Amino acid sequence: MSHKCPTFLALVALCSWLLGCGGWPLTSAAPKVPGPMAANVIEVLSRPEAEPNDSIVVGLSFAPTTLIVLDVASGKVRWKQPVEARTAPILLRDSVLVQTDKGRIVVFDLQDGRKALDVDVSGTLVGASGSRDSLAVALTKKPGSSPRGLVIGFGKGKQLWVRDLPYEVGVLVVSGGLVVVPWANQRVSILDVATGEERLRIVTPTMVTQAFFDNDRLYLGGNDLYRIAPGIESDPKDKGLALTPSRRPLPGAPPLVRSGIAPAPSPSDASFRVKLAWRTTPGDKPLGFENDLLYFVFYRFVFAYSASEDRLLWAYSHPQDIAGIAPSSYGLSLVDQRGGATALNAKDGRILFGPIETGEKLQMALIRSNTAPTGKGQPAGAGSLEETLTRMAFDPDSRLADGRALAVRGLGALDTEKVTQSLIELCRDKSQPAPVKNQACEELGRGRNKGAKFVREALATRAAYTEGKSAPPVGALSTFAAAQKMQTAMPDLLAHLGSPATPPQELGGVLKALGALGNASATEPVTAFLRLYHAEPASSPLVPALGQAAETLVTLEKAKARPLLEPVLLDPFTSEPLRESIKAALSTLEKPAASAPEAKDTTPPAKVTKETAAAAAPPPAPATDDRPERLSDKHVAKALAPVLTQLKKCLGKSLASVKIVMVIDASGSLVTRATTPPEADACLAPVLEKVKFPQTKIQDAQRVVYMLRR
Amino acid sequence: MGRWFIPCLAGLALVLATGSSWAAQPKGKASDEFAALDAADAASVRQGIDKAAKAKTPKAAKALADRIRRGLAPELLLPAFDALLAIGGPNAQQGTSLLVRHRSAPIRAKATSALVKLKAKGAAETLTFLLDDEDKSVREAAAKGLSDLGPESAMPKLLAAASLGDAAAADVVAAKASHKQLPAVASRLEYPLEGPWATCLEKLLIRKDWPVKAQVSLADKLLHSGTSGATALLEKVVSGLDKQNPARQGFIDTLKASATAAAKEEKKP
Repeated sequence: MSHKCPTFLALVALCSWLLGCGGWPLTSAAPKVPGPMAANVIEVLSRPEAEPNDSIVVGLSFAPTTLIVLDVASGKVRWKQPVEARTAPILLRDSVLVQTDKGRIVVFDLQDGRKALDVDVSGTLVGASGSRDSLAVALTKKPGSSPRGLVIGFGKGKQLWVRDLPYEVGVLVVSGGLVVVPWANQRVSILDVATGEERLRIVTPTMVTQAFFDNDRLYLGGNDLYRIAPGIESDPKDKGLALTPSRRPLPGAPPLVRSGIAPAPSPSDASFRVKLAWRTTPGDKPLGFENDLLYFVFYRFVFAYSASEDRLLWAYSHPQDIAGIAPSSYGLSLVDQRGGATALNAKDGRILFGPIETGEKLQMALIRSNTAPTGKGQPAGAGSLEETLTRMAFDPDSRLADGRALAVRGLGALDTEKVTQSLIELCRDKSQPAPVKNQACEELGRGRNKGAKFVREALATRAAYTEGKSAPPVGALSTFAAAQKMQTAMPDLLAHLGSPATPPQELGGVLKALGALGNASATEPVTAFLRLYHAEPASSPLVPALGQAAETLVTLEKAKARPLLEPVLLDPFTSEPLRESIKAALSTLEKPAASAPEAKDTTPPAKVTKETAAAAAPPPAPATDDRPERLSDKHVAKALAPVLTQLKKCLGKSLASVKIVMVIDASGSLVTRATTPPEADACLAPVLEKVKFPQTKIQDAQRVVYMLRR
Repeated sequence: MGRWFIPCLAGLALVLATGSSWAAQPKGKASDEFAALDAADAASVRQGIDKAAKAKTPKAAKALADRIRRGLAPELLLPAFDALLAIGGPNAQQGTSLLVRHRSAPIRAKATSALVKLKAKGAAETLTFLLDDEDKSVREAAAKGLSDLGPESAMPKLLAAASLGDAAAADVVAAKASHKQLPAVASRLEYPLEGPWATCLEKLLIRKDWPVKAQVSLADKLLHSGTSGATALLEKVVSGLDKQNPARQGFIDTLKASATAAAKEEKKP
């Protein structure tokens, strides 16, 4: 048809352009470009393009909004312009662009604030790139609109061309006379900046929503980062042009790259206060993060993590909320909401210079600073990581609870007496926000070695209404006491076991510690506790602690625990979950010791040497820690999959299903199991004992339930 | 730590005095006469409890106390304890000493009240200790019990509980605090003057068995505490006193002196 009616088609195109659709569409068919020409396009885009050599801050004040350009080195205002900005400004090479409340695109000259462009557009700004005289703008329209995305080219203040897109368009970039436009999540079109003509199209292996410059090179970003260089169009991963950063749990879950298909952020967008920042390695080096650093900013806090491993390197607490940051080769430049500019050393977070006070209050700021810090201000030595994190953990700013919890997590990795003391304080203080308190309790119970005297002191305290004292965090303290074999803690642990002020969720830790300490004087009180409360309903918060009491008795008394536990097991008032726990505890008595000698061993016990201790120690965590926090049903099912046929055979003809309760330790070994009904247990046991479950990050053994069905 | 262990040891002594350890494990099952206490269903156990309650014999009390120690479902524990208390005797004392530390607050409150009725040895120390319980009903029961047993040694804790708003403790302090305890009372004057605590102070200021000098001194300390509402409280007390009351003029003079001092303070640049 197109061959038969060219005039008609031309008329349709003309009409639609006159009606305001504007441009011609990017269709699903990619342009057919000869290989050498495609290589040429990529070669042009892969040339380094240095940022303009100026150090400036572009910011927006609080309402009424004013666009402000500051010189970093002098701290002086270059110019200010009132602007009713719908979006945060976008920094171009020689100018700055905003979309106003009325939807107009306005470009101001960076030098003097003169308006270089002021046009009405039909769409919401997504991104823009280029310069005053050669500019491309990406716009999005409401879902269901046609077209969904628009790319408009401007030259010397005039619209040159428009391209329609049937799908969402991402943040674009202009380089070497070309426009790189991500769209439809995995497509990237390279257009001619002068004409809008498509020169090349790339399909990326994973989602890409942004094109951007970083450290003088061009990148595509989404779930992964791709450096635009020869090979990007065919096999970026093989050519070392792709970077998949390891994810880590951070408050607010900031993405590595903001979604480029979302509208440009508003000036008050949370992404200016909670964000991940980084800089890629220079173009002549393998793709990675410069200084191996990922910076996480949370209002006033900065955490610098190693990009290659899950390790906090340094932390910094700023006096004011941070409005904008920019990583650089020497470290991190930041501007706060009072307009103060500061530079931090990449190595240790030490203040290199600043703050240079500009006096301009900013709700957000963009920083372009590629020169070494030579400004005014007092260099300051940073405190130790421990001091800084402690200060952050106790920061009274109520907005920062999640950031404080992150600081507590960092503290947890530091095994010092003072940290233990701080963790106890945070864990027991009911006035602390839940994330901070919970994190402190978690860290306290996680394999610490130093600070036993503070643990002893804390364990010796009791809840007292008239003195305004609440119960200490006995669960976490008990874990510590058990790990340190603190026999002196026994009386306190028993007192907490018998105290109604001890929260039920803390009792499990106390009971476990009593078992670990191995002191038989605990048997009587633990038995009394189990008997007195064993008839609590299944929904009672005490049930897990009662199950732990059963395990503790088995640990302490071995086979002698059976007559203590059997009356409870047989009592019809005992809840089903507790019954299961008792069975699981008793089943460990039946399990033959793996290394039990056939004949009585008369040799003296081996002397504990470093070597034998190492052999007995749990296996070390893998170098890249991809262990799950806990075992999920999926992990269990996956581990059992290879032996499923064998397990099913144990059902025989009479059983339709069997409930298997397993206790699995952190190294992935089955500690004990109980089956209901028990007929199949003898058959299941040897198969289950050979199964290796995944190692977990939590050090506690975990109880899992698996339903084996025919 | 010592503060904790003394009442604990006292409680333990109480148990030992009744001839049993709190951790002593009941052996076997209830005697044939009360075999229903070990039935497999709640209704039959309930019948067993009723039967024991009606029997009112030491044997019935022992069967109930043992059954409580072996662990009863929450809905059966309270009736069993009621039945045990109704019989009384050493077994009831043993059961009570166990249940003052039970995790259920209503059970603790009942056991706390029972300590006095059972005339248990060491009850005063245990009650003093229970003034620190996190549950209000337990603290109330402890305060009432101390009122009956003689609260002198527990007065600092009673004062603390009263100043934190515990009504029963405030009643005991108002009725039984001696003027010799004025320094202890004064040490709590910074607590908000509201509810039971304010009422307690009002009552102390008009207690007929307190010397006028002590009452005026308390009024003076109250006004100097800087606590909001101190002047209003004292004015209310004055307005309720007849003109013949010997403390009245002392209070008025204290109020005047306080007002003069406040005016001087205001004039200071």
